[in-house]
Amino acid sequence: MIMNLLDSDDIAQVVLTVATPNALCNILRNHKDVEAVRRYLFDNADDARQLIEEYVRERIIDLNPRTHFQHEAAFCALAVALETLPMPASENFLSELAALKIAEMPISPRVARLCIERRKKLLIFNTISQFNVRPIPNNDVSLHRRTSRVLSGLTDLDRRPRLQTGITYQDTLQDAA
Amino acid sequence: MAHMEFFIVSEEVSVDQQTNRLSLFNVIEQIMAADFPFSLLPCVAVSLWVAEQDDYKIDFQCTLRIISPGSENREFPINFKFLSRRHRVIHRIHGVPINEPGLLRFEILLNGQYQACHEVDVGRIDPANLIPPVQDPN
Repeated sequence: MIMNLLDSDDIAQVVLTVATPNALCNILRNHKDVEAVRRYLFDNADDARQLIEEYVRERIIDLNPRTHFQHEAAFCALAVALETLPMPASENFLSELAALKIAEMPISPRVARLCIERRKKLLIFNTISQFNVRPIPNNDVSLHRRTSRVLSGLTDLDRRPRLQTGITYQDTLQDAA
Repeated sequence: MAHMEFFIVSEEVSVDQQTNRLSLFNVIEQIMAADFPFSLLPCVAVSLWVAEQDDYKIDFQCTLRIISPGSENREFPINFKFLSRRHRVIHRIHGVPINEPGLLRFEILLNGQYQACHEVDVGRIDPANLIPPVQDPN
C-alpha cells in the first residue's frame, strides 16, 4: 500500500534530526514519498477518507502512556502530505492532530498547525447562498414547460439527430472483438 | 482592496467536495422564449475574489444585482470573510421574472461598488421554431 511509504526510515530520520516544525515541513514537502502519497490521495479522492482512517487506526494502537509515539514521524509526513488536499478527510485529520497536546507526540501537532495555516492561504473557500424570488402569479405549469425548451446558443449542430452517448471502454472492446 | 478574478452565470455549478474543483454547466448566453412573462430557470452566479494583504478579517459584502427587462432591479447580498487568499461566492437564484424581451443583466458588486457584469439577450421566438422534444428511439 502506498501509504506505507510514510513509514520509511528516511522520513523517520528527517523528523528525528530536524529541530523545528517549520524546517521539518519545508523538508517533508519536497520529499518524494510524501509527494507520492499526496498524488495518490488526490487521484483516488473518493477512497481518501478510508485510506487515511485505516492508516491512522492501524498505528494509533501503538500509542502508550509515557512512551514516545513510535509513528510520530509518519504522522508528521501524513500531515504534510494532506496539507494541500482540499478533501474533508484531510481537514479532519489535520484539525484533530493539531488539537492534541500530549507529551507522547510533541512534534506532529505543531506540524499539523503549520499545515493548517498554509492550507488556509492556498485553498479556495466557498460561500454559497440560495435566493428564491417570488414566482409570477400567472406563471402556470405549461409556461414552465415551454420555457424549459427555450433555446440558448442555438446552432445547426443542435438540430442534428442526437448521438447516443455513454459508450464505455467495455462496449468498444466488445465491438472490436 | 480585494479584486475579482472572474464572474459568470450558468444554469448549474458543481463544487467537487473531494477536490474543490469548480465545474460550470450551461453558461447562460441567450434566452429565447415563446411567451412572456416567464420565470427564469434556476441559475447560478459564480464570482471568484482574491484578497490583498489588508483584506483578511474584514467583512465583505458581495451583491448580485439582476436587471431584468421590464421588471424591477433585484439585489441579493452575501457577506463573507477571506479565510484564504481566494474565495468563491456562489449565488443560487430561483425564479427571476422576465416580463419582456430585452437585455438581462447580472451585475456583481463588492461593498456596493460595481465590479463586472454578465449580459444575456432575451428574445421572442415563434413556438413553431422551438426544438421538438427528443424522441425516445424505443
